[in-house]
Amino acid sequence: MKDPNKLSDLSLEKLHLGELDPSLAALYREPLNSAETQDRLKQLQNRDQDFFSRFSTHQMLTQIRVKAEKTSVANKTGLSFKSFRSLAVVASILIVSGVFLIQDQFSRNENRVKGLRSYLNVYRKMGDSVERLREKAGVRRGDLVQVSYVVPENLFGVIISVDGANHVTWHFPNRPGEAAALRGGSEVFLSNSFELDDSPKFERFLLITSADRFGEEAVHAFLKNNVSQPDLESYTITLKRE
Amino acid sequence: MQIDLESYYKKYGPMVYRRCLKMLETEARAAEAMQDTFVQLLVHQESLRGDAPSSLLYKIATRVCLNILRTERRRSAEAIPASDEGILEKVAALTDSAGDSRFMARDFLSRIFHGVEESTALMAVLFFFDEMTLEEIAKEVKMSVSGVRKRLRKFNAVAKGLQEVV
Repeated sequence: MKDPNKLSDLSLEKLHLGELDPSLAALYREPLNSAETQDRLKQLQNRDQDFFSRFSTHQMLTQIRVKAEKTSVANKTGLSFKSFRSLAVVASILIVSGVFLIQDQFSRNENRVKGLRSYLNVYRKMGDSVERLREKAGVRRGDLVQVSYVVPENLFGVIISVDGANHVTWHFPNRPGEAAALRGGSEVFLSNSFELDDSPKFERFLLITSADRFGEEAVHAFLKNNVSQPDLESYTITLKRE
Repeated sequence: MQIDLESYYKKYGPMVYRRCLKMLETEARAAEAMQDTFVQLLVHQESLRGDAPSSLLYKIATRVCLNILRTERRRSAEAIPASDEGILEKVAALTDSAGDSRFMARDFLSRIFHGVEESTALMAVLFFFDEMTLEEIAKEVKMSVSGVRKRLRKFNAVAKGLQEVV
């Protein structure tokens, strides 16, 4: 049941933004002036600052504009980044069937439950078509790639890549830190595609997972020692630089 | 109406993100839903009229998140996917009887996701999930209070809470 003395989240946000409707402001005069409301407003200010620290404004705006452009083109021509993703999903459905049937050829640890293993897919966009890249596929600077993962159940994990110069790039989460929650049971695409830069020799993508949370230090330990950690499982796919 | 994306993002981005995080409960999904919300704003900017930006973006974000949950639900083999659990728990907590609450919450979600028109689903989320008053909802959806009440009665999601309040 709604607490009559507590502003809803939306009304609080509008108050914070200076857009609360005057008639609602009159209706909720007491809650507006309460200590709880003032405290919640302060928290919103702090959360605003956290938001801009967490997400690069420039990066977000770029991604929004790219997506909007693709959506507008799709609305006009019927061809879109969604088509790219749809094609990729179709491709991965066929490949998931293949994984059940063929011998595992990538270096990874055994995964448990349901006969479905954790793995990564890396797709390359070539004009209007999409290509799923296999182990040791050749790639070049400027190639537009998108990564997806499949895990058999909800886990925690990171997706990173390491190039021939040992430079580590975090893809998911998109900066070094705690492992993110991975959604189990179906292919999940990372929210961004990205362009490959001019790195030497190879680009190795790693999916590192665990049933428990783990931090950045565990990832670095894994990378340095390159030995199986008892509670971490991994899947890699290496692409050769042409 | 021409949108200055950067100004809108800087002013409303945190609010949109918070909305998406509340509904989707994970940062990555919330960030993507936030982007999709601004994409919708840009793509349809020519046809936008009248709404205060905060109201408009809040509604778009809610719809974007419901669509995400709806899509995930369709793909999931489980009766109630993990993605729904946050809303499920919230709705379950609104009812008095622990034994009946999850049944009614499942019914609530089924009605949101199957065959309910979008505007009614939005009102149901604002009422049951966001605990907004009928007056607040009426302002947001630009209907009369009696019109909102009528829609929610029709929806009939959570028997006890609905009968007491509406």
